[in-house]
Amino acid sequence: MNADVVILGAGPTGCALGTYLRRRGASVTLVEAVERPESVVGESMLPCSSLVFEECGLDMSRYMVKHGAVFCRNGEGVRFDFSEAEAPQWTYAWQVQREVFDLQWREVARQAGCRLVFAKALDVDVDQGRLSTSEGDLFGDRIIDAGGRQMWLSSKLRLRAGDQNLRNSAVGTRYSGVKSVGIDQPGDITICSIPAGWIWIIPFGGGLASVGVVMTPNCALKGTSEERLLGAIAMSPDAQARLDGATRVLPHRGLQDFTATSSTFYGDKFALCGDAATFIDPVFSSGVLLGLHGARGLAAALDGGDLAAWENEYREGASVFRKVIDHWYADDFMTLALVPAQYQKPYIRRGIVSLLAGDVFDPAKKSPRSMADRMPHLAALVRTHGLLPSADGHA
Amino acid sequence: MLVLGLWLIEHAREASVELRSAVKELIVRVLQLEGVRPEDIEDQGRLFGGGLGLDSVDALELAIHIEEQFKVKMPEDETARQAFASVASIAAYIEAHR
Repeated sequence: MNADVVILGAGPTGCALGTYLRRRGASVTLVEAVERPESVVGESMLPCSSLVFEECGLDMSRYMVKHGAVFCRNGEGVRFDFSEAEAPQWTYAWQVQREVFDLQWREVARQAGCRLVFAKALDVDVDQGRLSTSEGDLFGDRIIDAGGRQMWLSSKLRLRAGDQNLRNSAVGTRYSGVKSVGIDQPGDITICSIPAGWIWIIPFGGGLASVGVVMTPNCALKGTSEERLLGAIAMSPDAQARLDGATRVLPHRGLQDFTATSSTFYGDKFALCGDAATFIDPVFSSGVLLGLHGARGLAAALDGGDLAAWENEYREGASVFRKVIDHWYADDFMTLALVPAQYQKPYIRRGIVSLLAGDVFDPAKKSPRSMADRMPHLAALVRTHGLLPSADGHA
Repeated sequence: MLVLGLWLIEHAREASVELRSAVKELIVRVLQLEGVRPEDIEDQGRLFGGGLGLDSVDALELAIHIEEQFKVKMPEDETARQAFASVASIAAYIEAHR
């Protein structure tokens, strides 16, 4: 592949893209504004991301293994194990501290022969293939934005659009002394549903965990980041049980306006990938999966492939997550997930777990897409009958 | 002519047996029924409210997979209840509509 590619952002998506492009013979420059990677969100990996980890040679042995997810509300909980998915290729994933993970990705990209430049992007002339940075101009046959949710290039080109329906905000931090309780298995992510949104607890081992809250607009949580997170925890007996005696160890990080999509993911001389192309919501930890899978596909598409087909497949996969995310905020997911075990259907759990595992790109896997489509109907049945029909004798 | 007629009837029955087996296999696989083998399901046995104890959620799941595997459109109304009554009626519906 005879091309010079300039990639904005040396996070997992940018580095994966650079690595794949180098293997195809492209010359790659990664431009990164932040020299020391920070403890950003996007820490809970999905089993289906292992395709990219394995292909890029990422050694994941330093990270906490994650076998499943626990969802709880008001003292009720349900655990899903990745082994329950439909014909799973990987039955586990990892929880990663991003300041470690991102450094590892940069090393992978460097070893693949990517040039890494620390600079801030200042301006761009896509037609000229020129990216102006704090360290001078860079030129490329194609400029690719993998710089994350700020959607720098998409905004400059006036392609970025916020979302009408999802306008959540978030506060994240880390605690030490966090406990596993009840049905939690070591390494599980725990999602605690509250009226204002939901709380995440992502354990790294040794009692250290990423903890945060995602809040819906006009929710009851107000004030500083600290006040909002503490208020959220006060709404959740499930979070309190796990955080009892825990100590906060990082400053709070606030996020808002993170749901956005670009109207197009590529042009003749540019492309977007990862959060810089589209970001929906963190509730099912889909961001990194979509970015990595998108990077893999983009490298192939740029090397004599079909960019339109790439964008289409990307949007299709994202749309499956979008459906389930909408179902989450409509309370359909929790309604269906909390059906007591003796009345739950194994194939319903299978569909849910396949989605949780991120298996949205394999056309042979029917259950995740089918579940995404049917979840509202199934939740309606649960609300009408209290449980799934056969439980109360109604067929 | 008689020989041809008999040959056709014989083959229609075989196709039907194969089809019924495929339907039984699908039911066990899709619904993840534990301890039930496809050959244990009776052709004419009641699927719903009967021995297998399937319900309307199971019917929905079956419909989706039957449509996909056998390339037929399952009905969404009262005809559905009749079509789903037994393995034999599902197989007959598939044969009539594909």
